[in-house]
Amino acid sequence: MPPFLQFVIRRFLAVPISLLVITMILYGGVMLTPPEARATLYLSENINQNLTVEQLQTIEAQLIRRYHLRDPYPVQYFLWVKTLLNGSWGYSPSLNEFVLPSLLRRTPPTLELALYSLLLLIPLGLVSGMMAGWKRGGHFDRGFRLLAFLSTSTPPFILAIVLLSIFYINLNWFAPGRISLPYRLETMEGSFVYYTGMLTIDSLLNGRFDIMGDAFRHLAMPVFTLSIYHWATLGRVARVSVMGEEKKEYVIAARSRGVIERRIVWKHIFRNTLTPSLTSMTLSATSIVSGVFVAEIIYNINGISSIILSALSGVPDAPAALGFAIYSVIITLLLMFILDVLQAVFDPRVREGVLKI
Amino acid sequence: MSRPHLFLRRWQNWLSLSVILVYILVAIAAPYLSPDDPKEPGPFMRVGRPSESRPAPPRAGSPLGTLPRNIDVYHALVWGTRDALSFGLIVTVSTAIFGILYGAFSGFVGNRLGSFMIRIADSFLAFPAIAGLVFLQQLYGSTITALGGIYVEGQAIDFTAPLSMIRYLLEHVNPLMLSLIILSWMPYARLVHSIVTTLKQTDFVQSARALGGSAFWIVRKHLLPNSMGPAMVLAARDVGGIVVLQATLTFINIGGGSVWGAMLAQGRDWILGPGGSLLTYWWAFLPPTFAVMLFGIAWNMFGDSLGDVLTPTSRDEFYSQSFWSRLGKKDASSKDELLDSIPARLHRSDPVAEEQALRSKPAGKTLVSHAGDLDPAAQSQTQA
Repeated sequence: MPPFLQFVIRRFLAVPISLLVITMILYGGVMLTPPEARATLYLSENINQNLTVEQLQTIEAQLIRRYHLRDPYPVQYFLWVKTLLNGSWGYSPSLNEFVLPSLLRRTPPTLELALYSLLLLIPLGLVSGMMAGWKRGGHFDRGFRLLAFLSTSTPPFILAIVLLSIFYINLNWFAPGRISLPYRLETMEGSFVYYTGMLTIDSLLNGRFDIMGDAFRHLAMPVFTLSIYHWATLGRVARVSVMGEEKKEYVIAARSRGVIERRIVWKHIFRNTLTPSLTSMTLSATSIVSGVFVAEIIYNINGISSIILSALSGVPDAPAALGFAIYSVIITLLLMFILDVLQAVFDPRVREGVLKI
Repeated sequence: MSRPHLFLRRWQNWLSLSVILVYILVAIAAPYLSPDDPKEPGPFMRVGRPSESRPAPPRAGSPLGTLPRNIDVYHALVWGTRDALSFGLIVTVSTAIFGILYGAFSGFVGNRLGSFMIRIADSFLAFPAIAGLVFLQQLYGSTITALGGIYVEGQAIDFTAPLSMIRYLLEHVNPLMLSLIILSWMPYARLVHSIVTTLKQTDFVQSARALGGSAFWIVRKHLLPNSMGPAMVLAARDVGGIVVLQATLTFINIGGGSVWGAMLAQGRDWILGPGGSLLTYWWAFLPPTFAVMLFGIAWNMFGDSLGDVLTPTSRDEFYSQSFWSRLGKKDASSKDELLDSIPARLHRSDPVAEEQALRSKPAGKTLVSHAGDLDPAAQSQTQA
């Protein structure tokens, strides 16, 4: 087996292990609630709102017996994981539907936002950071440092207020939400076929460039808000690691062989700065995911985070909260996995397992 | 050079420290700067009829204007400082203490237990704070709020008579605070773990062990002091970041209880809406915005300055240069220093010195001179 594939498989196997640890901790929290409250995790759809107290208690007692909710923690945890694996993650009273389908249905908008942000910020952060670090103290470096300082010190929600005020209310170039109303009606018609659920891609596949343009018009502000902060942090790491690399022997050797500067930077140093830069991103994967949720809520995008808005609306809704927690952990783990694989693509030391990440 | 002296040599250092001191002073002096309304204590003080929905500009009695429903901006700003500072410091200090101890223990134990512990810390790295907040709020709802206690091993534990302290604490602790404490100790643990793991092999720790030092003594006397510097840098940066996160979550209305965030959330419709410009109702937008941003910036810069002073390597690199080189004439002076430090006959052939000398020239020229270095013939051509 090629080492790259070995790395991918080995790295992928780490995902369920982390997930196991986190679900164990989450269920440890759930264990602090009484069995009756735990039974709500297993309630099924056809429960009638008009049940009497006795009827509800009978159902709860049945569920407690069926899922051994009075047994020790390992038994309960095991049964709960089993229902997670083949179930629908419980019925949420505030969403009026099962949690997993609801989460899956809301995933494409979130994914679209995250995808474009990452596609924008990773190349931009790496390239600008490297250029700044290579010509340290130059005009570009000074400009980069100023911009990075500004973007890390502006909290995303304040940036969002400024952007909304300028580009939506005054200029009306971009807009919050996912799509304008006339186009939204069109996408709800049968003639518009959904392939991925991501509007920009689906409209392209349907040949509707006007809808695609409109979708991008709505994506512009959240993508910018989300990318700018992480662009700055990524760029700073890249800048510092270039500065560390340029004194190394392989650079001197390349230079003495007469390799041109541009090639030294983009061919030799690039691969070496990629690993520290992407590692720093992996470590801040949670803040990226949190940032996606925040951007969704501020810009009114109906993604995964719309679940927490209803789960926090006052009704006790353990399945939605628990489902959201697990789902966002899975998303974060997958993001970390992708970033690590990206490292392995460019850095042979990572994929051979010489350099531990 | 003493540490305070080192600290004060850069303007960023003392500027950030003085901004932080101003915040601390405002937080301490809040009752004097803006006394609470005795009938309705709390950061949001009414200075008029609650039915007024339009923010009013500064006037006598409310020096920074009001938010919708006649809430005084100045009062909220001052008390928000106290709230933000205590929130940031409590979260940071508790996460730092826990993380440092966890990292020191796992690093010192080192064997399978240590790596298992750090694996668990890594798993926590995949847990977004928002998810933790949502989960904890639900958990609060069905334990503390509904039961007045928790449920352990088949029986309910009421936080009554002897335990009512815990109940009081849990009821008054912000769920976001708890969620952040649980979910942000890992960087400290990882940092201290790696420092301790590296230091364990060094001679001075080995000799301390050979002298018969107990494990606890070595950790306390040698390992912890050496990891304090980087951990403090991390902590200083965290204070700002945590307060900004708190304001963000409050602004999007999913909890957190940040006063500054709530101010922006309350004024949001007027900031964005009818004025046509951000600055039409500037008193609803600028004060909390500047308070949050400056808080974040000051702590971040303070973290960097601590890094300068506390981590020996960066200190050496920065302060070993002459005063003028730090004022931007870095290239010139380091070139001279480098050229002076090597024998004259090596000047031509030393690529490092050459590169340092050429650093200030444009890229194109660098290329040509390089070609010249390699080949004597080409060199004469360039000179010609």
